[in-house]
Amino acid sequence: MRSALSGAISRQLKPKWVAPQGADAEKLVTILTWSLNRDGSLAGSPRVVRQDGITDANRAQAGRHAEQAIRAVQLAAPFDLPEEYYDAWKRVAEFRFDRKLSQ
Amino acid sequence: MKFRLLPLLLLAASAPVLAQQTAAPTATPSAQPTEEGGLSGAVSDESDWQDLGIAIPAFATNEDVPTQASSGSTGATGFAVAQVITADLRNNGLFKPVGPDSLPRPSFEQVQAPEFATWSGRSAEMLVQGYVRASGDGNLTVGCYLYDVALKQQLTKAGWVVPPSDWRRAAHKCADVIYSRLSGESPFFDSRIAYIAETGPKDRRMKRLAIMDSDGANHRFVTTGQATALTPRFSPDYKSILYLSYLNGNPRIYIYDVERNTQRLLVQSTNPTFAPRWSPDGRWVLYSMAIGGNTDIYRIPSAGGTALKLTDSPGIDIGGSFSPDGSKIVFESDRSGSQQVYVMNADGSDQHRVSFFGGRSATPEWSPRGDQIAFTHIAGNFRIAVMSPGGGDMRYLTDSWQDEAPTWAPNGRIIQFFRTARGSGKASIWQVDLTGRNERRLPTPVDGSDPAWGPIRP
Repeated sequence: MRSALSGAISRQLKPKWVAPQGADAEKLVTILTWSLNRDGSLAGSPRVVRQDGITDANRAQAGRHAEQAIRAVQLAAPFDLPEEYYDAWKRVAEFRFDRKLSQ
Repeated sequence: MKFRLLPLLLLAASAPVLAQQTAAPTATPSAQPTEEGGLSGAVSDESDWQDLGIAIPAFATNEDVPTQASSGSTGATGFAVAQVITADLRNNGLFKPVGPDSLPRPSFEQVQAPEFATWSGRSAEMLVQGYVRASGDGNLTVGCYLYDVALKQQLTKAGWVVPPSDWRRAAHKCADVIYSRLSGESPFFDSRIAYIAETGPKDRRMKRLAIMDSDGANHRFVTTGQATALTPRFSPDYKSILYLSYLNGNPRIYIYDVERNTQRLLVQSTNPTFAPRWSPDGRWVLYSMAIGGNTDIYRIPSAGGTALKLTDSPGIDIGGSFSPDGSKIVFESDRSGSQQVYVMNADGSDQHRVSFFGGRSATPEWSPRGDQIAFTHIAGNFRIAVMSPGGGDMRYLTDSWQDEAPTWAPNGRIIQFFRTARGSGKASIWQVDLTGRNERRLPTPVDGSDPAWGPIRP
C-alpha cells in the first residue's frame, strides 16, 4: 500500500520536476519532507531534509536544485490520493529528487 | 567619464526553504506516528535538458519622453532593453526566451502587478517586466522584475540609474540578475571582451587589438595593425589591457591604458617574451621569455620592476595562468617530450604534470571559479576540453577541426575560444557552456582570434 502511495505521488510530481542544468548537476540529490491536508493540498511548505552529491563543480546549482524540488511539490499539489488512506500519506518524511540520464 | 551605477531597489530573492526554517504548523501533529513515521519515495527527472521558457516583453515607461540614449525615447529604450536581455539569455543557453517583438506590452502599472493569467496562457514559465524612466537630470532609471508565472510569485527585483550612453549596461545588469537567480551562477553579461581582429590574406594577416561588450556591441579597434598584436588580457579593474606586440618584428609585452589610449613596455629585454597573464588581484603579470632555445615562465610586478624566474627546465615552459586564489599556477611545458599541462605553487615549487590523456595538452586556463582548468587537447584535431585541477574528470566541450585557446567568462560557466576553418584559415570567436551545450559564434566585424573576457563591471 505504501509503495503504491509513494508511486502515485512520484507520478504526479514527475511532470513538474525539472532539475537545473550544470557541470556535474546530474549528481545532485535533494531530499524533501512535507505534510498534506486531507484534500491533498499542501499543509505548510516543503522543507529540505538534506542534499547529497554536491561537488565543487555543481555547488552553484545546489540551491536551485532544492528550490526546483520544492516548486515541483507546490505545482503538483493538490495531490490526488485515496482519502481512506490519509493517515498513511498525510506526512511525506523523505522524498528523493534526482536526475537519471535517459539513454 | 565616470558615473554611478546605484542599486536602486533592494534585491529580494526568495531562497529555498531549508530545514531550519519553520513550516506552518500542521493541523494534526504527528502525535501518532505511523510505522515508519511518514511516507518515503523518489522521483527522477529523466527528460532531456529543457531550456526554461521566459517571456521578456518591452519595458514600460511612465511617460514616453526623448532621451540622449542611442535607443531613442524612454518608450523606445524600453523596447530596446528587452531586446538586449532577450539576446543575452538566448545566446547563453539554459533559456528559451520570447522577446518584445512577439509579446504584448505591459503598462507601467502592470510592471509590479503582473497579469499572470495572460502569461500562463502563453506557456511562459518565467516573466521579466521592467520600466525605463527619465530621471530628470538626463539619466535613465531602469527597474527590472522577475516573476514565476506558475507560482505567481516575484522572484527578484533590481534597479539602476545610468547615464543615457550606458543604457545597454542596464539591460545587461538585468539579464545578469535573471541569469544568476535562475541558474545559480554568478553574472557575466555586463562585461567587455578583448580580442584580436584579423583581416587580409592568409599569408599577410593584419592582427589588431579590439574590444567590445560581451554581446559584440560598442566595438572599438585599439591598435592600428601596423604591428601584429596577440593574446590580449583585460586587467581585473578593466583599466588596462596586457598584450603581445610584434613591433619591429620583436615580440614584446605591453600594458595598454584603456582610458588614456597610451601604452608602456612591461618587460625590458631583447629576448622574445610571450603569453602574458594577470594575477587575479592585478598586481602581478606572468609571462614567458625565450633565452636561446629555452623558454621559461617569469613573474613581474604589473607596475614594472624585477622579474622572478619560476621555472627552469630545458625546453619550453609557457603560458602560466593563476588559480583564482592566487596560490597556484597552471602552465604548459614540453619537458616530457610533448606539450602537457603542469601545476605548480605560485612561487614555482612543486611543479607536477596533470595531463595524462594521450596526445598533447596545451594553453591551460584556470577557471575564475577555481573548480576547472580549460585547455586545448591535441590528438589529430584541436579540441577544447576541461579537467579538474588534479587532472581528473576530463571532458571534451567541442569537436571541430581546430578549436583552441580557451578563456573563461567571469562566472566560470562559459568558455570562449577561437575556431579556425579548414582550408580558408579564417578565424572566428566561439563560446560554449561548461556542460558542452550551446556552442555558438560570437559575431565580430571581421575575423577574430585570441578572445579574452574581462571581469564583471561594477
